[in-house]
Parts: sequence; C-alpha cells; structure tokens
Amino acid sequence: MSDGMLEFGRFAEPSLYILVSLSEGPKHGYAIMTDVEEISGLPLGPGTLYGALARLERRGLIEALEPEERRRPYRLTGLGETTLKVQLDGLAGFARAGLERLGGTLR
Amino acid sequence: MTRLVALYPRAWRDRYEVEFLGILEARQPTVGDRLDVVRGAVDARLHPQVHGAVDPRPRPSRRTRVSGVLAMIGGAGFLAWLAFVLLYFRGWGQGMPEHAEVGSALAFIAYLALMGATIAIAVTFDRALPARGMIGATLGAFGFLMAAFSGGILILFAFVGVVLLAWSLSGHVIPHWLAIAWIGTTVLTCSAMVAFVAGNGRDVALLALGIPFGIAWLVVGGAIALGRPPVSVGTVR
Repeated sequence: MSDGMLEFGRFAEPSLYILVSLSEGPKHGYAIMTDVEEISGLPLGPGTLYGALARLERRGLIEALEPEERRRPYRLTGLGETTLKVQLDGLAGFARAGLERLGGTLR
Repeated sequence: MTRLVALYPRAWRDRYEVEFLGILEARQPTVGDRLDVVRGAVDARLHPQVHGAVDPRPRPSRRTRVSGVLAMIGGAGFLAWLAFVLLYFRGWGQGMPEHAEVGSALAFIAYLALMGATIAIAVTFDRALPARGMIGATLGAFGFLMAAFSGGILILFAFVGVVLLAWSLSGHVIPHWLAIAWIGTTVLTCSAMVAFVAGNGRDVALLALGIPFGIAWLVVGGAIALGRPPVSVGTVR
C-alpha cells in the first residue's frame, strides 16, 4: 500500500475495498457494505464502514450524491480513481514480485 | 443499537446519522456490529473527520491546568482538614486534639493551595475578568493567606473574595450552575464558621457544613483544568 493511504491507519484496507466497490459505479452505504463483504470475504462493520467513508470523503477520494430517502449514494472522484489505480498497481507489482520469488523457491 | 449512535460527536451525527441509522436498521446487528459501532464512535471522537467536529475553542493552557489543579488540591486539602477537625476536635477549651500537628499541617496546606489557586485563576484569566474578579481574587488570596498562618477570622475576606471571583467567572470560565453552587457553598461555609465562633467554638458539627465548599473547589478546579475556557469574555459562545 502506498504512503497515500497509510495515514488511514486501520481504515486503510477497508478504504481500498470501498474504492474498488465504487469503481463500478455509485453505491449507498449498505450496498457498499455487502459488496465489500463479497469481495473480501470478511464482514465489514458499520462503524468501520463509516470511519473509512468519512476519511475518503474528507480527502476528496469519494463524494456524496443527493440522498435517496434515507440512503445516500457515494461515487469515486477523479482523485479517487487515480489513487485507486496507484494502489492497485502497487499491489499488483507486489503480488508479481512475491509470486516470482515463490516460484523460484518452488523450482 | 440506535442508542449507540449517540456516542458519536454531534458534527458527525449531523452529517451521517440518517444514513447510518438506515444501515443499522437494514440488517440484524450482531454483537460484533455493536462493538464496531462503539469503536467507530471512539475513533470519531479521537480523530474527527467531519468539519465542525473539533471544538474551536483553544485547549486549556498549562497555566490554566495548573490553576485548576491547585484549586483541586485546595478543595481536597480543605476536605481533609475538615475530616480531621470533625473526627478529633472537641471544641475550644477542651484541650488539644490528638495529632494536632497533623490538623495544623492540613489546614496550612489547604489554605495555601486555595490561595495559590485564587492567584493562579486571576493570573490565568486576567484579561477575561472584570474588576470584581480581580478584587475578589485579591481578597481571596489575602484571606486564605491569613487563614494559613493564623487561622483567624480574617478568612471571612477569603469568602467574600471567592463569591466575587465565582461571580466574575460565571458563564464563561465555568458554567452558571457551577458558579451558583460555588457561591452557595461559600456562603454556607462562611455562615457555619460565624455560627461556630459565635457559639464559642462548642458546636464542632457546624463545620460539617463546609464539606460542600471543599467539593465545590474540587469541581471548579476540574472544570477549569479540563474545560476549554475562552480567551476573553468577548469570545463567549
């Protein structure tokens, strides 16, 4: 994970999942929560979800849309998209390097 | 579950409460969810992300905290001295109580701490205090100093001073209700001491009426040390 999200502390990983979830289009809180649980295979608590959403919104990585009754959808901003790409590229490089080394060991 | 949302700061609730409650009601919350909400509330208080969640008033300065702590020491010392008097003192003319030197030391520490607190409060809030506050602090410091060294009736000056000081701090440094309680307990203690002296020092139990006075100093000291007082009267919200 790059330095950009290290300041998120324990919210860094959930925040990344949220960005991934929103990359396919705007979603409201409950939809994000269920989607993240599906992607990660781990439960995402409401306190953690909103701790991460507040951080992402404050840093301009996501933005809130007009509320629909009691639900408010969020969408990725341009900055959020760029940040997500950087994060995923970093993870992809990390995964590649790890797999190469693992492959070398196994051979 | 919805009650747990009240743990979040007001600014956070203003921004997220409606949608957050919507999520909480959308599924049966588990124990883990409840703990997660509490953890989220703690985080929202420690690391506020929503604009307005931070109290705009300055944190208490070191000087303010010192004055608050001195007030608390004074209150605690006064209570300890009262406890000693009520336990061991039998009244004037009844001979020296047991451990008289302990009682003298307690009184000395308590009154000096109260004098220090009075001066420290006046110095800390000098720009916020009206003239009556400075007069009150001066009288208070003088009265407590006299009480520390001679234990005489000059302590009455201190009571008058405390009333003036509390009045001047009311509504900005400390809340009105606390100032009223502080003044009330001061008047009560003063009356008890006058009645005690008038009764030739026989009715020691009268001095128990001073207990709320000591407690008031503890609470006022805590409010000053932990609170976020404004820098001047003009900034009172």
